[in-house]
Order: sequence, then C-alpha cells, then structure tokens
Amino acid sequence: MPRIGTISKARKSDRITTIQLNSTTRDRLYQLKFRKTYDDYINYLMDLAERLETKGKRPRSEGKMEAMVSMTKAWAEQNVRWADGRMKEIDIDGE
Amino acid sequence: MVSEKFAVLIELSKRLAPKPILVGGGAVELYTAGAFVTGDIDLIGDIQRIGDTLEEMGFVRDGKHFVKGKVFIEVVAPDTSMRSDEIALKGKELDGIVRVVSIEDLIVDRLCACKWWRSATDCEQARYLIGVYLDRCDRKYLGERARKEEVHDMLTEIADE
Repeated sequence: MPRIGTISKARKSDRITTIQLNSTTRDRLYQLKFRKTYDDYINYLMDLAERLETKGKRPRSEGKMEAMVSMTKAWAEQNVRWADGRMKEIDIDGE
Repeated sequence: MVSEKFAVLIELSKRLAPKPILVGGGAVELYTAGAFVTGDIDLIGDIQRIGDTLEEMGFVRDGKHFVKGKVFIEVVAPDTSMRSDEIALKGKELDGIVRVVSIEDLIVDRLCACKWWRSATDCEQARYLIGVYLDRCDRKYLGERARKEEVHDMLTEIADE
C-alpha cells in the first residue's frame, strides 16, 4: 500500500489541471460516474455549443436584409424550378 | 450550399417510403440557400421507422434525437395539417429527391413563432421567406393557413411592406 506522502509527491510532479487534479486522476474520477473520458465529454459540450450557436443563425450581413433578400430571390429565380405552382427542383450548387 | 445535412437527408429519403418531411430550420436553410444556417435537422415522420433506418446509417439514438458526427436529427410526430412537396436536390455531389414542408406552411410556421413565442429570429426568417417567395407561392393557400393559425394580420403587414 503506498504511503500518502508518496502519492502527494507523485501528484506534485504531475501537471495539475484547472480543477486542481492531475489529468489521470481527473479521468479516473470522471469514468467512475459517466463511462466516458473527460476529453470525450468536453468535445461533446463543444459540439453542443457549436450546434446551439449556429441554430437559427441570422444572415451574415445583418442590417442589409433587403439586399440579401434580393440576392436570394435572384438565386431562387435562377436555381429553383417550379411545375404546376409547386416547387420541384433546387440546384444546390447554383450561384 | 452543399451540406452534410442534406446528404444524410437524401440517403434517408432513398431508404424510406413515405419519405420523412424536412421542417424547421433545415427547410429554411434549404429555401434561403444557406442565408440562415441551422445546427440540426428536424424531420416529421414515423419515429420508429426513421429511427431504425438512421441507426442502420450509423446514427446513435437518444429518445427522439439521433447523432452522428456533427449531424444532429430530431424526429417529431406527424402533422397532418400541413402540405409538403417532393423536391429534387441537384448538385455536383448530391442528387436525390427529398420531401420538404411547403414554402407556405413554413412561412406560417415562422409567423406563428414570431407572434406567439415572440421569437425575433423567426420574425426575421418569416420576413425573409415572404420577401423571396411571395410572388411564387400559392397565395390562396397561404392566406387560408395564416387565417387558421391567426397570423394573417402579420402576413398582410409584412407582405405590404
């Protein structure tokens, strides 16, 4: 059984993370509860934040709505095809 | 505007009959050529059949949500009151037919969120879709749907601008 002093010495020699544990201890504690690595969880949160950030994102040129509507209207006239009053085809690479 | 999201939707639509219906922000993104970008795909259809197919495609299920890489899909219960159109998506990398909520129903949906939820983003999207598509869409049907959902006042106000 290791002496406490030995563990303390080992911890000091490791690089301490922002939650004041070394990365090995942090990951062990985390896996006990969640069965994922800490890095997996951080990546999951970052992906989630990215999704929330982009959801319902406003047009890039905010304040120039009319110009953007005109541009999109021109795009639609060029790349959206209709038949019998219904939308039938979209050229998704169209400029 | 080629996007991984639409590639997944095309693949899913090839495997299912009836095809799931793209609604919400994904439909706005498609109809506005990416002027508004969404982080997820909202689909209407049989959650069991769509879910089973998505799992075959490598998605991980969490209730009514499905995730694979950066693609996040939510499946909601069928809404029989709305119209949808089968639209062919053509591109260098994508080619397939998908079913999308009609432009008229999408406008009404955004107007509802604008009016009843006071969502500024939805107000902006409604105004944008009306600006682009009012001349081409079925005005009679749009008016009827807007009256039924009690957003005809907003539709008239925006259309008259």
